[in-house]
Amino acid sequence: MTASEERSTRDLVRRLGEAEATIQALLSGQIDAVVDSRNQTPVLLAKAQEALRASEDRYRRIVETTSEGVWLIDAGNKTTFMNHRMAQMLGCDAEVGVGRSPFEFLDEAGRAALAAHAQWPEPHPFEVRFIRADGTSVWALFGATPVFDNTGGYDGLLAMVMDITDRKQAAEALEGLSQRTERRERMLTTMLSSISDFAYICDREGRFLFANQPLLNLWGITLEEAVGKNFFDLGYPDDLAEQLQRQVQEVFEMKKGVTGETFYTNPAGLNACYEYIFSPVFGGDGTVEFVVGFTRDVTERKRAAEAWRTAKDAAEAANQAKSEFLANMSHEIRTPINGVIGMTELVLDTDLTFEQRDYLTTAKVSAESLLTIINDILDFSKIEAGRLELVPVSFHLQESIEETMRAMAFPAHEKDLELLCDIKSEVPCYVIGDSVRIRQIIINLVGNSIKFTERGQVELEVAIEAQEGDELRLHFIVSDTGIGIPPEKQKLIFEAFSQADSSTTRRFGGTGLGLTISSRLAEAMRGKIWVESEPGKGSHFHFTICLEIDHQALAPSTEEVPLAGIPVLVVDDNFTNRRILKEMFWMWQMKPTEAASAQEALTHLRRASERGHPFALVVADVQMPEMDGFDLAGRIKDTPNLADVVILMLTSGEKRGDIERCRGMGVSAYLMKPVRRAELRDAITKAMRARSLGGNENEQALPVSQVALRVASESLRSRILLAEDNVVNQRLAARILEKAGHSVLIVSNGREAIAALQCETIDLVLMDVQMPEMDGFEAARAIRKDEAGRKKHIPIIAMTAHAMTGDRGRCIAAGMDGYITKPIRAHDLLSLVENTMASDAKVADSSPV
Amino acid sequence: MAKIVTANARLVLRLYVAGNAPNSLIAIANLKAICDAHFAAGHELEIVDLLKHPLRALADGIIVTPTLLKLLPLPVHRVIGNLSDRTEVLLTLAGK
Repeated sequence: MTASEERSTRDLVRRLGEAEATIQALLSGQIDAVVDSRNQTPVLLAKAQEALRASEDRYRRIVETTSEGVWLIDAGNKTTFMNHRMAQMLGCDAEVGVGRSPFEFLDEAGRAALAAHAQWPEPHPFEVRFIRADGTSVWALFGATPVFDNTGGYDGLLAMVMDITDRKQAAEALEGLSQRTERRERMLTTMLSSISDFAYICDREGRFLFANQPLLNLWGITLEEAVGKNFFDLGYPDDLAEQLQRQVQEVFEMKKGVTGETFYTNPAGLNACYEYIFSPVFGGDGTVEFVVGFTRDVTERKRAAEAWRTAKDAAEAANQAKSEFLANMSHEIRTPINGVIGMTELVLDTDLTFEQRDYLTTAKVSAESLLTIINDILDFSKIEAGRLELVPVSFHLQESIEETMRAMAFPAHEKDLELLCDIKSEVPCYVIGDSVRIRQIIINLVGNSIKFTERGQVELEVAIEAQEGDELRLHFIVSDTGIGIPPEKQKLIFEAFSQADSSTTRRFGGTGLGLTISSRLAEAMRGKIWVESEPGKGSHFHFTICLEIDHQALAPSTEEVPLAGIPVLVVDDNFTNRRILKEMFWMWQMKPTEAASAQEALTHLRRASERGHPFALVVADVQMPEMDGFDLAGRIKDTPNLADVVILMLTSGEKRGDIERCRGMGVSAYLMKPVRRAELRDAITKAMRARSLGGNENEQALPVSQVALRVASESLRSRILLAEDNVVNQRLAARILEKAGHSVLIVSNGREAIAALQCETIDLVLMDVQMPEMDGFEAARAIRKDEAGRKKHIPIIAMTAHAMTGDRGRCIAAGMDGYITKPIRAHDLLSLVENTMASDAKVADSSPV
Repeated sequence: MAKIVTANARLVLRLYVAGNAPNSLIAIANLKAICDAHFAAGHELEIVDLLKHPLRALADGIIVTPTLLKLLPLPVHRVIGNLSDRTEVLLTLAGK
């Protein structure tokens, strides 16, 4: 080997050594830069590595942030890579998943699907279900792309996996929902078809969208055939179809339901009545989308209601007929009784033996009680027939009540009962109301109390219960000390035809209608009636009525002889009576002192006289235990210091010769109880005046308490035209009038009356309202019409047989001046004739009724 | 680039580096530590940046950095890498 060869060889070894060191250094990463041999420029190794790393990072980020799972599987079915999302889907860590077979994560169907799809050349997504370690499952869309190596051999799978669990669940839920909806529809359809009513749904044009089975049966078609048809298409009669169509339209427009009724002859040819309800179904925007209708066959119900109404009408008509029959019967009975009473009165007025008088008096009393019963029945019939009419007039309440009580005095005193009347001073004088009906209630209640009380007292108390403006509610209490009414009977007594028990009817008589009538009358006057009672201790009958205060009527200006300051001693054993008298005296500003017995009275009188303030007046009851009123009067007059005291006697029962006794004892006045306020005041005034004059005018002060048939004075004798078709009544009325000194011209109808007025001089006409040809009303109107403009006014008094049709009002309307109810009583007739003549003479154009 | 010259100039070294690249910095540190420990008396060291003087590297036949050249005493030897194998570096410098 040459030196150069040796050098060359050494150099080569060195170079090889260097090359090896370079490679070593490269491999151990100790190299920073290399020089590119092609263009002799240095290249930093660090930069190249960085670029590579950055590129790798970018891909990794993409893979990790994608929402899909990325899964690399090699040809041996081992996992080489899975991204985080994939690991999440499979429920394991990405690192742990590497090396595992995808089959481990799939269910049976998934494994089969994966095996089938694995080697398809094109990606072909299919659904699989992953089963996780914790047992939960995930639905996924598996898109697999096969990977091939350089030689074209199968090298595994790249899978893109999408979680579709939510989508799957939503789809399942949707399916469930549609199933439930379908089920609900089936339920509703079945339900709607199993009711007997017709149920249906219509659109805006009245076309059916649904009809239930009963309705389809009626039409005889199927639902499919019915849908889309309207009422006209379904063969409804035109007018009915129009009505229904209009109603459907109305629901759409008004946005609320309607109800109605139709009559329909169904295909079976039966007439039926239907009731329907259309209700709106609202859409989301508040407009009406459909109309739901229900129709019900109410034919049967209608028929039953009709039958019921017919039966009710018939019953009412029957009741009405009964009431009218009773009213007519009463009228028919009254007419003959009219004759009986009138004629009996006339005969009683002639010379009779004691026996004859006794028999006739009994006959008269019997006829009168029969009349009372008939009157009750008549009233009751009127009320039942709904023909009760109230006639409100202005009247003096206090006087009216006192007069009524006065009329009850006789029967009360016959039984030795105290009859008291206590009208509270706040009760106004003039009121507007039906005085006749108020009297009727009072007479009934007080009459009952007298009837059922053997000893003690009967008291009427009147007070204001409430007042609102001119509206007045009065409270009346009729109290007695009679037999009382057991609690269980207290409701019953106000019912028709019942008395507390039938035995009382036998014992006390009466129709048992009085309380019923009173109750209805009180109700008609916007009040009520009730009773408080304890058997054996007596009863309190209450009633209330509404009246109006009459401010227009002026209180009569009583001559004001001042009674104020007069010391008066009230002597009565009855506490209530003392109280009433005391109240009256207080009202008149007198100074009352009371004494419960004659003995006490004498003590008071003596003591007052000794003190130098003697009593000026003693008002004493006649009937008192131990020492009666007469004895007291005698003792007073016998005592020198007391002799000039004025004595007034009040009595509950007048005995023959009492008046004579009074006169003998120097009693100034003798008054019947219950004493009227005005009368008492009058008597006191007169007596006090007489005393101050020093004269003895006792007889003047004595009241006339019995009314005999009056004989009209010369100046009041009249020529009277009597228009009456009933011969008995003609004779009766004529006889009464002639006996009183009047002359009578008789005609038998309205036409004749008018004719008679034209040729005869007549002072007064007495006119029956019910006459053939021309009745009393018509005749009166004709007479008034004829008089008009002639400044002439002939008084006309009506005679009414009954008040069935509101005769009182009609009398006034016809221009009559007064009226009298049959049967005609001599006293009433004559008083009315005289009063009418007198007032007519004073005020030619007034017409008091 | 600093040129380190010691009093005893028998040892002359040249280190090719690539800027501040990690292995280059390691190589500088290693070489200084070896020289300080064993050749403090006298040596000459030149550090050349390949990136700044590519032509010098070409002239010296450098193909990678870091590369250490022992120029004197002859023969010229080169060590490739970051000079972390101290034994090998010492053997080379000792003129094996």
